[in-house]
Amino acid sequence: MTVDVDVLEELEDEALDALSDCTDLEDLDDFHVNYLGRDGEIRRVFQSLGDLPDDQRAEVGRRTNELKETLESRYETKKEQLSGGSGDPERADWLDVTLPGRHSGAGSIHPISLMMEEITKTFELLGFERAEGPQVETEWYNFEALNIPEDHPARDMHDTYYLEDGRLLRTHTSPVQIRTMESHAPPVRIVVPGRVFRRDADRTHSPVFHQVEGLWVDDSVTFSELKGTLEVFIDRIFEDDVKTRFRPSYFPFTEPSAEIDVSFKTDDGDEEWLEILGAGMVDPAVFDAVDYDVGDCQGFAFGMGVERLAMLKYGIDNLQMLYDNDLRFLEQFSATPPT
Amino acid sequence: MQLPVDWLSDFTEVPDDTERLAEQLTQLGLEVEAIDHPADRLESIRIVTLERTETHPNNDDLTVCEVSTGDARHRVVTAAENLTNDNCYVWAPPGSSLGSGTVEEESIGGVESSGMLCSLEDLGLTGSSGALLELNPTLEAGSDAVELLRLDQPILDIDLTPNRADCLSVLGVARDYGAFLNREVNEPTAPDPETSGRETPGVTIEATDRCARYHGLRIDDVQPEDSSLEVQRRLVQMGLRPRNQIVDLTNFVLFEQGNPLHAFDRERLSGTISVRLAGEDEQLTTIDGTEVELEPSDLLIADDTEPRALAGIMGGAKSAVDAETGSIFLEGAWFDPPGIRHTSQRLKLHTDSSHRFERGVDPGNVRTAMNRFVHLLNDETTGDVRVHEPVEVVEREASTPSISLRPADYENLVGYSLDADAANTSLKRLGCRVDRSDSEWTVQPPTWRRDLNRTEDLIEELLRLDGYETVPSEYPSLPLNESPRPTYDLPHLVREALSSRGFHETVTFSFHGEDEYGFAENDDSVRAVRNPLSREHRALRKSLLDTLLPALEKNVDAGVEDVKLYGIGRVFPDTEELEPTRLAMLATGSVSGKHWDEHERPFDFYDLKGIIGTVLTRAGHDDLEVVPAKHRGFEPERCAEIRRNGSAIGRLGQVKPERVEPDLDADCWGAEIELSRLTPPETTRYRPFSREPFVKRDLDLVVDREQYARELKATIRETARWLERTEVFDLYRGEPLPSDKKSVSFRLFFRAEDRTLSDDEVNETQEAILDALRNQHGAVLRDE
Repeated sequence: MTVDVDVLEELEDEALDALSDCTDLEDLDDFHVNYLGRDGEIRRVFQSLGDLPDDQRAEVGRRTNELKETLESRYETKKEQLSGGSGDPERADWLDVTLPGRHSGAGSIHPISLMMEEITKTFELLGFERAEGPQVETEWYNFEALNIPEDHPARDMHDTYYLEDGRLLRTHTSPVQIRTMESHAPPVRIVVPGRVFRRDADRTHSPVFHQVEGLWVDDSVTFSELKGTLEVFIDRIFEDDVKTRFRPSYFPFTEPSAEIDVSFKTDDGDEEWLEILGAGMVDPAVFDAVDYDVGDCQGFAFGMGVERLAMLKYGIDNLQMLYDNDLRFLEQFSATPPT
Repeated sequence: MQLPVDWLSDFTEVPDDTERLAEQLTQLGLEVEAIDHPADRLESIRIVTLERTETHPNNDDLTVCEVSTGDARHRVVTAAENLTNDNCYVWAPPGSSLGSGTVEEESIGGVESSGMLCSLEDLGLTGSSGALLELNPTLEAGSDAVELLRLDQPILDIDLTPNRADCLSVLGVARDYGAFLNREVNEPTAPDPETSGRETPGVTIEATDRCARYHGLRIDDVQPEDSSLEVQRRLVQMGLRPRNQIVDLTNFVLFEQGNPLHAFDRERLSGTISVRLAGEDEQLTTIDGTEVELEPSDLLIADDTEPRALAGIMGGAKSAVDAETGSIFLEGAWFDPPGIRHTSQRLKLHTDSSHRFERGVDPGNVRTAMNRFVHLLNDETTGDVRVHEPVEVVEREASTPSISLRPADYENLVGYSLDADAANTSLKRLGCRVDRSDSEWTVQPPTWRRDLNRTEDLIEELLRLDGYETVPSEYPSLPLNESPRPTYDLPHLVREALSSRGFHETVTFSFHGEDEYGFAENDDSVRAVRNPLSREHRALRKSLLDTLLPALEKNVDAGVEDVKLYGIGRVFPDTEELEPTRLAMLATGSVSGKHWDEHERPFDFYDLKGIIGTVLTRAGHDDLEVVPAKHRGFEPERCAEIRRNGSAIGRLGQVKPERVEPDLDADCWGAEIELSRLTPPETTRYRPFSREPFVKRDLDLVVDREQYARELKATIRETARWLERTEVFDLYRGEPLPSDKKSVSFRLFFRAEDRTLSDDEVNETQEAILDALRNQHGAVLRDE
């Protein structure tokens, strides 16, 4: 008999029928001898390939190989079924549903991104519009327009990286306040996520970190409303009830200024206050810098460090972990969906 | 700032519970960062008298000291240099504790050292030099140091914001705390001194815009003795080593009153004093021994011959007070804050004095501070000093602005009504003069509150004293038409899609070493940080892969075989003002690890290309092309460019193996795509589709081995009629094909809009396609 594609197809049908007729391991052994064994059908087809004309040999060879692989794989599956299913034909469809599925594995989103997104989305839901700005900034946007003149001690709060060209890496996201107000008349209501830089590296400081900033300017927004807004925000971010505390502070671009602490229970049951936000009413000097009419507008601004909130939220006790990119750390966030 | 609680209690009543005090100060805006209880960590440390010293036999840098506790002598080895026989030191004997563990008897360079002599730092106080704490010889040797120096008193560490210069003194904090609780403050005694009637040498202020006032006082017949225990222990609490009566008292007054004073050895000055800017090529050696090259912006105190002090920062060595000094010239002043800061920053010379002047000292308190000095000196000294008539040169009076405050201003800003009587009391407690009428008040702050200039500043003060907690929260309302529009957040879409395909997001720094531009388009120029913390932080990244690759390497180093990482962030190309946001991906190892039913397959080009295609399609971009390209970071024949509308937006390929450290067993595949060039896609418009049946044809083509499939597909598309779609479904190389050929199998689906296609029609277009493939690419059918 000359082997051709049709013959192979017939053989395939026949073999698969034989396989599905197998009801115990003994039958299966016979199947293996008949089709896949040393003197089996497949072997015989291979031996007869030499009789074929050159132009057919390759194709038939390839198809025979495919058939062999198919039969072997079906045989293995059947063997597994029969071994586990104690040979009962009724149980031939049995599957081990506990074996892992085929998948590429779940990846993850970095906790800094998760936290930054959550903060930003929360403010978007409260009516703030997302805004961004450059990370390489000028003295004007990063300092002067924000009421931080040169030779002012407030600059001690910002260890600054300067570039060779005289520009700097922004030390906070606040320059985006200025850029936005320069190009938009009030009302302005923005939330600004972004990366910032300070020349400071130790156990609790990273030279690169992330902030989210917010600004609301119209003709009458008040300090009471700043409090209300941030309380709602804190309530949305922390699922457990936390207490909130506002206390006086100083930022050159706000007056009055506040820092906001939230209370957490420590492991020994004590209450601990942790500072998470800075805020205040926009300083008139800032309105001056962007040519807003000081008498006609009023607003509040706030800002927070994303890393600190992420560490609180996810119980991370070591800042360094956030920048190590160690898969043993990252994989722990595979089951953390974005907001 | 350090604030000893017992010093504060000299001026106002404080609660016994220090935690409570700390809480109150924090609520007042004077944030207490820590409460130090030195006595809790210091155990069994004692005062000793230094009896004898000799150089260490085996090490010239060490000294072997014999110290006495009155009843016994001990041998201690020290590296410190400030050793004076008969002076008292703090000794931590073996078995004592300095907080970091028990002090042991140990052999230093072959000499047994019985414990150690302590510096302020050893004691955990804020000293900054390694010098030993050296104390008045009249102390009783052998006594308990903690008890004697009253280190059992807690010390608050206050993180003062730069606006609160008034609280850079114990008295200043007492005032604010007193105002908060409505308590009296006991101002320390500072009467005008009895003077001899003789005039202090003349003073001129030349740089009038840099110095508003300058007070000078000559005091003769001083004998710089050691300070009393009371003064010494205050300085120790503040982290300062006692020197001599004169220097110690200037420091004592600085901490108590907030006004820095400076004492010159008057006999080393000649002629009159001038406050002037530095000339060209002037130098000054400061007390700490630094030779300073002066610049014309530096403000100096000079006499007729030379500069004598860097105004407000540090005195000169030549006119410093020492044990020989018999007459001093005491200076009190008000210098222009930015000028002081400018010089102090330039010279990196930051002192207790410059810290206060650059924040603004109380100009109304200069005379009081000097009077206080004289009063304390009279108390401390065993002799009689002779005080001359003071000289006071005043360029500008210590005035503060009259600020208007309308109750309506408060209500508008705070959103809550003002309790006028309470506000009036609060302002007065802060030392303000209030001229009150119903609609508009005029408020004049005290000279120590230079931060109060505008209505907003007063409103903050009112809120601060009341407590921010008393302001009720309100919820602003927002007109619906002002709510934000949803934005196209591509990074968010990409994160979601990639994390579903096994990739983990990383966060990497924006800079790297100067010679690490491996994937940037070029490394011709460095976008350099001028003042990096280390060389590894010197160059701004121009490619995201340059900072992502180390993250992959670190994980491989940790033994992970299958690594799939991505990152999203800004890069900083050479000239552009824009900072494009990019996505970078790297993968090595197997596609999905070992699976029970499949062979392990290495991650390859087509995995990466497929993932990118899917992710970007889901993000609205299915119009991207991938074409062969070259790039310095990738293997030459295994790199492609991703294009949109003909221009490149990214690339992918195999990372050159020599770029990866350590060597990988598997190939490393990488991609970098400029997300900021992918603008929001247009809304999808439905297209009607044909419901006629399709005809399927397979073409097994034999072509050159290096024939790109993309070109074949393009030819098919150009030539075919009724072609709905086509895809490559098989690729074969090997026997019986010659080694420079391969077989590519295309499946074509034909469909007409309006009718069933006949076999002849399809045959016709199929022939045309084959002709075109043959003519343009030398393709033949496999079975031809």
